[in-house]
Amino acid sequence: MSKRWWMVAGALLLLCAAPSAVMAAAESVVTVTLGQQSPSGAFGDVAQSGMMASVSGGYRVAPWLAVGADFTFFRAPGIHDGKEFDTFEPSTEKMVTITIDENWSVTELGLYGKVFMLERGRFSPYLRAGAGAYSLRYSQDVAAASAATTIEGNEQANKFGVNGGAGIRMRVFAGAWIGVESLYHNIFARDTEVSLWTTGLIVGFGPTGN
Amino acid sequence: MNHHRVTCAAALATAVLALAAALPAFAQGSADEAGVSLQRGTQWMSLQAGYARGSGDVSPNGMIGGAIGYRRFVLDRWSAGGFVGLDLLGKFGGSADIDVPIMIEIARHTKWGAAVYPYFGFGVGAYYRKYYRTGADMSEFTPGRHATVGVMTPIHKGGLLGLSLRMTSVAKHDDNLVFPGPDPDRRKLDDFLEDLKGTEADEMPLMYSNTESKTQLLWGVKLDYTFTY
Repeated sequence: MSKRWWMVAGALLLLCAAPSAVMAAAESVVTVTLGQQSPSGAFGDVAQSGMMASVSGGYRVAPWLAVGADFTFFRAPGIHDGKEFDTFEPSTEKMVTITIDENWSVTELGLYGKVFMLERGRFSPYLRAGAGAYSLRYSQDVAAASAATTIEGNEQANKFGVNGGAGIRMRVFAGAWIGVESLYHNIFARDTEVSLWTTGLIVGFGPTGN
Repeated sequence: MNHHRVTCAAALATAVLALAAALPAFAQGSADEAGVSLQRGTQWMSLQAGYARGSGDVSPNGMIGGAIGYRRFVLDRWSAGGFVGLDLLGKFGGSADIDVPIMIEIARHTKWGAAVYPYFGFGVGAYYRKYYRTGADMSEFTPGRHATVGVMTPIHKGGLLGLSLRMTSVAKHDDNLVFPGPDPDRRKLDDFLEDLKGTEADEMPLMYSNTESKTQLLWGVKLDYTFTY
């Protein structure tokens, strides 16, 4: 086993050895997540990795279950973003050299559930699953051009999607948490799989520290 | 002109909401008797009816709509619920733009004084959109998201009357014989997802002056009668 895996195994052992946390239901928390998104599958062929930001509000209905709503924003440069090439400009019927500015952005508004398991001491690992409405936007613009051009536009579509993943939080003090979370999003587009991984740092606040 | 109408409608809605917030002195006496609860476990059944319209540079005047909904307070002052409605967004002659929203919603409620119960919330839903009697009718389900704000006041024991304003963002329909929209023959987002794969930069499909908005806002301002238990 490599050194990294020994460290992971050691951390898990520490988690198991820590005293059990007394977690009550009826706690609420607001969480902010900042991180990175990585397109996968067919979406990885048209978009690059980018940033993500999310804000969510959740409520612990039982010691093992929390439910809530979240709003997430992803941004990813297109696969050709920043490339320079020659193209025919229909309005002037001339060749023009452009540097393309190509972007994908996705916003999600949805509901989720978190199942907490193996809670020890300050640490709360959990599994998370959710569903929501995703709004996908694709835009093209010209960052630089050798002559006038009409290349500019955007397309947008709303889609349903689902997401799932896992995370772990550590209580810093009563009512404040930090942690990491990784989710896989799958958006139901026509004929194409739009999927991406998000991984982010989370900061949570709640009156009693859910 | 249309922007003016939307601005007027928004101003009217704001004025009515403000009026509703200022009014309820009349209900002061009955508020305690009404015993409105925002505590966890309370349930609201709502019936809404009023004005509905869709935004756009060229869109018909708003018409009428209604909805029925259920809310349950999952936390003190926080409710989760669902609404189903039917909105006639407007007509050009006999041609109609119809919307059937099926929504889930989370709302934060509060209390101003003894008789004013404002709330705001947001939600997502499936929207059945239909063009009817256009000569090229179409219908589809599309996802949408909405924000809502409203104010309620008790009118009798277990009964609330108020006003609800809802703003919904949905995909705009393509151009129709009657209702204008984006060019239906353009390359759409799903097409770009397909067509961009494996292309070099100089082969990529490009957009030329394709800046028209592809989303539409739907507005609803409705009277709301709610039965609480």
